[in-house]
Amino acid sequence: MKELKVVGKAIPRLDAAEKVTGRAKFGSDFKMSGMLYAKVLASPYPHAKILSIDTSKAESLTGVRAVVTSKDMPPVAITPLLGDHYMLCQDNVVRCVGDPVAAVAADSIEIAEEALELIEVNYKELPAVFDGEEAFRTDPPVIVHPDFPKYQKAPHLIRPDPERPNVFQTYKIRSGDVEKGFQEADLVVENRFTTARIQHCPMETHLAIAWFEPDGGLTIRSSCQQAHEMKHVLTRVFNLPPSKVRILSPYIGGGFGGKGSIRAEAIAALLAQKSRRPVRLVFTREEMFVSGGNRVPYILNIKDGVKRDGTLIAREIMAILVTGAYSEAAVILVRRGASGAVGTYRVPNFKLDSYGVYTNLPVTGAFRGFGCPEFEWPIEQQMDIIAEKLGIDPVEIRMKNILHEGDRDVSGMITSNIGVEECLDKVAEWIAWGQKPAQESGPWRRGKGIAIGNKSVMAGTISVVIVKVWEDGMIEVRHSVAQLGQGIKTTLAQIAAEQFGVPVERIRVVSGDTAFCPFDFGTIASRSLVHNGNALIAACEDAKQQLFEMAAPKLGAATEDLVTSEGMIHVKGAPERSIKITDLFTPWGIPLQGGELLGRGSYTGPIISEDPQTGQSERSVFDYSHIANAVEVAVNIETGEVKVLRDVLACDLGTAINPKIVEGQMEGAIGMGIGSAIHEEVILDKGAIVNTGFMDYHIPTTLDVPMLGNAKAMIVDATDPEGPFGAKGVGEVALVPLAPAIANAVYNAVGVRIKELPVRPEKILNALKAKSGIS
Amino acid sequence: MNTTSLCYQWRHPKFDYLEAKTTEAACSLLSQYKDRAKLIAGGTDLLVSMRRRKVTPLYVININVIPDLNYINYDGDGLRIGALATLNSIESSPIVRDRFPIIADSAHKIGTPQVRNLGTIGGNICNAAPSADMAPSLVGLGSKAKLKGPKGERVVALEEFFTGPGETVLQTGEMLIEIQVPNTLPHTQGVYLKLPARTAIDLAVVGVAVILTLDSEGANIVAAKITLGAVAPTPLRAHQAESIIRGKAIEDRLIAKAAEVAADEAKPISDVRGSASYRKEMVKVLTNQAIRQAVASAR
Repeated sequence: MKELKVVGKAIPRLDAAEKVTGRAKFGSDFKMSGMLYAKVLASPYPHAKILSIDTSKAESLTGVRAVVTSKDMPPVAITPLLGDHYMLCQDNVVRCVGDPVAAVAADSIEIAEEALELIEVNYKELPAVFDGEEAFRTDPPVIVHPDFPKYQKAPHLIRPDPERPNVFQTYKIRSGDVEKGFQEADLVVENRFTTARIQHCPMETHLAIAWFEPDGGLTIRSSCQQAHEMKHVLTRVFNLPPSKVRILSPYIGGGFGGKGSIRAEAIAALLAQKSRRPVRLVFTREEMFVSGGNRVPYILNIKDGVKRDGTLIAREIMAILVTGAYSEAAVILVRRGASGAVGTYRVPNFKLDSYGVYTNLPVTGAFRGFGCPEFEWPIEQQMDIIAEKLGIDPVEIRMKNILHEGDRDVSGMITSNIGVEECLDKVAEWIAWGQKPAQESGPWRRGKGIAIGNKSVMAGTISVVIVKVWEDGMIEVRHSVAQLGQGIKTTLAQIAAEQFGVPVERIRVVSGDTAFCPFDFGTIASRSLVHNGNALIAACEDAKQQLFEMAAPKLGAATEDLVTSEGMIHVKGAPERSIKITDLFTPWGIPLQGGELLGRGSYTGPIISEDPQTGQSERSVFDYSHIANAVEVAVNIETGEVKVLRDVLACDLGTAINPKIVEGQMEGAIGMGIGSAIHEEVILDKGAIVNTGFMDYHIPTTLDVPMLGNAKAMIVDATDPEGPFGAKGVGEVALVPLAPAIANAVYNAVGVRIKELPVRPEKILNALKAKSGIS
Repeated sequence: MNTTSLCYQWRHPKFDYLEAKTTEAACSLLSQYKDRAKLIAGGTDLLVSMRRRKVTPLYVININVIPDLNYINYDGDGLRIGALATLNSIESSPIVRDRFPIIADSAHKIGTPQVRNLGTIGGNICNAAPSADMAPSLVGLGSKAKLKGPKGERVVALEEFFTGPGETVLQTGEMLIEIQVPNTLPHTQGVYLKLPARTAIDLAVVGVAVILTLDSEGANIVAAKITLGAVAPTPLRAHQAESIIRGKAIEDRLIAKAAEVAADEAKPISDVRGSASYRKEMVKVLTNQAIRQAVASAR
């Protein structure tokens, strides 16, 4: 490969200056003339029948321009794969606290808020189910969706369990014979783990500004990470032609998976339709917690059989996804989340069952890591538990069992480009694994912990990129990746600069408008760079080919003999035979051949459908990124407090297009991971969220996160030949191993194992007491 | 069953805004509107409580415009802090840091710089939250509250000021105008320890203020005040725990015993921030630690 000039360089982010100076525009920065402010009336009950709604008082309040209830709503679900969720509660039944019942658009937010209190809703409370295992039963106390059999379902994708009325989705992996494996094992270890319901806590909450155009088209400015998917759904919901629905998304103040679902958009559009005015709906922080979607909590049972030397011989996992009242992203999560249990270890006999179950709890959805942090939480603690029982070092037992190049994993895919062994070596060395941490006097005890994990890039999705060559030689990249802080603008600019042999200043990157930017499946599943990078390279090649065709007759050379760099096209090996790209345009800016110069490129990740009975497929994911994490913690044996002192991540992501951006992603994940490991938990009381704000829902402050020399992100070269310049995805994988590594370090420090997230002080203290036999 | 709203969606309740330019005017408005009125200074507690509908005054009286209530003065009798002194000004006052470091430290442990720039000592005290960070150390130092009402001024011991969560001895028409902290004896040191769930920006799960006076040899505890926060309806003096170490030689065994007794004296509740049993346990841990630290700095 020729030497790279721009790719691989830690250039400053192109959006840095405008963001730190406050000039970057986010959704709520936009105001429109005549714009109304919306508020949503949400259910205070976890399960109730609406006997009546009277909106007349609200409608007659001065300044109220529109009030909508489910009778105004188009009868089309906002969840196309499984039609269980509508923009407002369907059939006059609310199924969770926060379920939207009605909405108001008014001249001011204060009037809208006042109007909410004037809407009279008469509810009849119904029994509700909150416990995931109760809801999972074949005879659950409550069936959350009695009409489930009648709902629209994507064929082949939705596989409910006919025996279990609240289970909306199942997934199985079968490989080898686990029973035989357990019989052959020298040691069988079984444990139950749970993960917590948490919120993404993006700085910017969900928001939408919706309006109808003079031609009847719908335009929505939204903070969303799946704009084209949203456009598709709203096209169906509002029965509009696809050419007449347009989603604009400027800079987004953080997504973390939470902005893939329709939250504010459909209701804002409904109000805009009724009021004939632009309508702005912005969630409050409280609404984010209650109605904005939480991470799906898991109940996980894991049973492992190992040989005396630590070789895994059988593993059986059962996962119940305690979903809220609507399936949403969990339809996919039940299936794809399981890849977290697939892509790391060699297990000859493997069985996995994953179930999505409805409850009457607030809505849940996708969250950074998409199942991988949840599966690694039990697996990586289980590895330590087994290691201790067999007297093997935790690093060694992992080394013994990790997949190698060419191994067939438990879902039938051949392992490639795996660098986790080197990742593990690197983090072990950095943390001085094997060396006991220096102990302090007083109540603090130090310990070290290690964990590994993976996150896959999803397969079978498409991204398209368009490249326009301007008459001044500027190269414009049009794409549809959401700019949610991950630095995609800079990364794509670096790729285009490399392709054209120009400095990054000669590249302009444009996104955020479904009307003018090409299709992208969504800024999810760590897929953006791999897919859009490949599509961009193809688009650059297409544009260059067109330039070469224009230049060839002028240079008296064949197109295949031409190359471009520094804004010039020249003959290979004869740089003096050249022409400026700008000279290919007329003085009026038209390419000499006529028309605009647009290059188009698309990329679809290959996929092979899996066997529904066994989950086996040679290509169920695009590829895996792997990661290793080592932490040093201090645990206070008197108060149970945990401090994460040092934290190191190493990721086998191949080529870092911009190493600084990658490090930023990884260091950000350290903060988010520490939060989810030791602080964060949405607490519920009878189906209602108790801690709906940052006073009692604790995200880490800078003082809770190791800084400077105490946090380290390392990149291991395991290039994926199918990725752009060999790159893999890194958006999610860094979060994956944090929680189990911290739990393992707590065990190492004080000898108690916490299996329920988060690892809170009181749990540690109670476990310490139980261990010493005090209580 | 009929309900029209949900707690997290409550809008800010409507109220009339009034301004008092003197303490007399404030008292007069309070007398006029009684329970329907609330004073506002920094607003860091009041506005949050109003949004959550814990209090819904029809009249909010701004006292920030009263000129002479924002001061920190020191003389031979001790410290006088005007009710409008901000937490930040207390935390950064050289005289407070020098003579009463525990007060500066307690102020520093509240919220964020933004909150401390707005929040006042009068607000922190009159809001009467069981977890109020200023209360345990001020109570332990034997502070007094100067109140002003329609019938004139009176002074009450701060320890007697609190009557329950959000409740005080303030009568209709009365307001707090000053906190008075008496000078401490030589060889006196105080320590305020707070257990938050997170390193910074958090409410107290448990707060413990210990103020000790040692003899000149630093061998015996002459006087001890142990005040607990967030573990009872009001800031709570742990009198029995104090009596265990008061007048005694400094001994690990007695310190441990005092900590245990303090935990017994605590009457916490379980809530989202911690269970009652965890809080009791933490009273023990923090009391033990605070006594040791106070001894070390008083010596």
